[in-house]
Amino acid sequence: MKHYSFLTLAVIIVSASLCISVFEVGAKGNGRSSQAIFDYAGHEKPADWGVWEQEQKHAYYRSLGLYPASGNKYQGEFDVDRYFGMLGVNQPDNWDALSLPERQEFVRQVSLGEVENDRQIAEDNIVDGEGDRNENREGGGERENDVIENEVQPLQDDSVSFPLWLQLLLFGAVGAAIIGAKSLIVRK
Amino acid sequence: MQQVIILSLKKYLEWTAYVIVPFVLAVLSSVVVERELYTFYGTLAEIGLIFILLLKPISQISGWISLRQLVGLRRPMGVTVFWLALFHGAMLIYERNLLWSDMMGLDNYLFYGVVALLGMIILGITSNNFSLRTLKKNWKRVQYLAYPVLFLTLLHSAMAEGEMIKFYVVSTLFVALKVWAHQKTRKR
Repeated sequence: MKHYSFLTLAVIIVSASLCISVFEVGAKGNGRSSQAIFDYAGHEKPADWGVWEQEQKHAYYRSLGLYPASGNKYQGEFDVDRYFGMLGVNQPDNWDALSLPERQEFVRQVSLGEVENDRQIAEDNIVDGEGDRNENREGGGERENDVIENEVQPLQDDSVSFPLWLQLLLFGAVGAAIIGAKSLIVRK
Repeated sequence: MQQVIILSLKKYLEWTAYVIVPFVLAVLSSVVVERELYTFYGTLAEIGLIFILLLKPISQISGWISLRQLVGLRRPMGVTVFWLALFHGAMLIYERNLLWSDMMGLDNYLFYGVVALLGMIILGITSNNFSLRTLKKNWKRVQYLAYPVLFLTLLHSAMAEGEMIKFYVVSTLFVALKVWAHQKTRKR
């Protein structure tokens, strides 16, 4: 009796682990989530993000200048060059090393025109955005307008490419159908 | 005559559950990438699950022999529901580009869908003779997972539609029928 209880538990645990692994692989893409996108871009993730429709999420991404790195799906990544192009500044060299509040402050200052266009950020610039603000604002604004005018329409990719986990599922289902057919024929 | 019909029905249901459904879903899902289709899988799975779980209490209460014979066909019906639920979940995760973090949170209907799907996967992979032989008495215990899966599915769909009334009505009806059937079988 104990043996079978243990077996049941083992089956449940193994099944749950497999399922979680499948979802983990499928959901996390290359390991970066939507939270990571917002963190990397220096934006707050909306509190009710989880209940938004996909179109709503994509529209919000685009409103921030976040476009997919390839294809029409984000897959946990965005086009970083395009994002900074939209912001009208070069990506700071030390961007990866900045903390989330520092990135958010940088983006806030850029949106206020407080960061010089095409200037690489230094830690000090994040906190003290002093300087010729009007000039920066004009420069940043012009560049931003240029980008918006030349903005490519929302990315569309008609070709369907399934991720590996989904391909496995599809092939698994076909395999199950073949095995099912074989067992039903043999039973006859 | 009735026995012949039930046997034929069993044969068709087995072919449907073990061969046709997984094959058709795999092919259809890889050709038609439409959210409406994947949502439809979920609707069918929900209706099927409700039907399967109401079948036994209704047959016990009514005493209809034909219904009682249908109770014996719940396994292929359950496997069909499993495939529908699996493709509903997997294809929507792919199509909506959902991330693991997007499906978390007690106020998120996707969370209940994911938990229900995990339960459904456990039910699906233990719905075979090998599991039945291996798990013996515990097989029945594992199959009791169908009850929380039903409530989670109802909660998931009711929250998704924004109409909680369905959850309350169907849950209450199910519990009432189970209690009624239990009392009736105890008297016998």
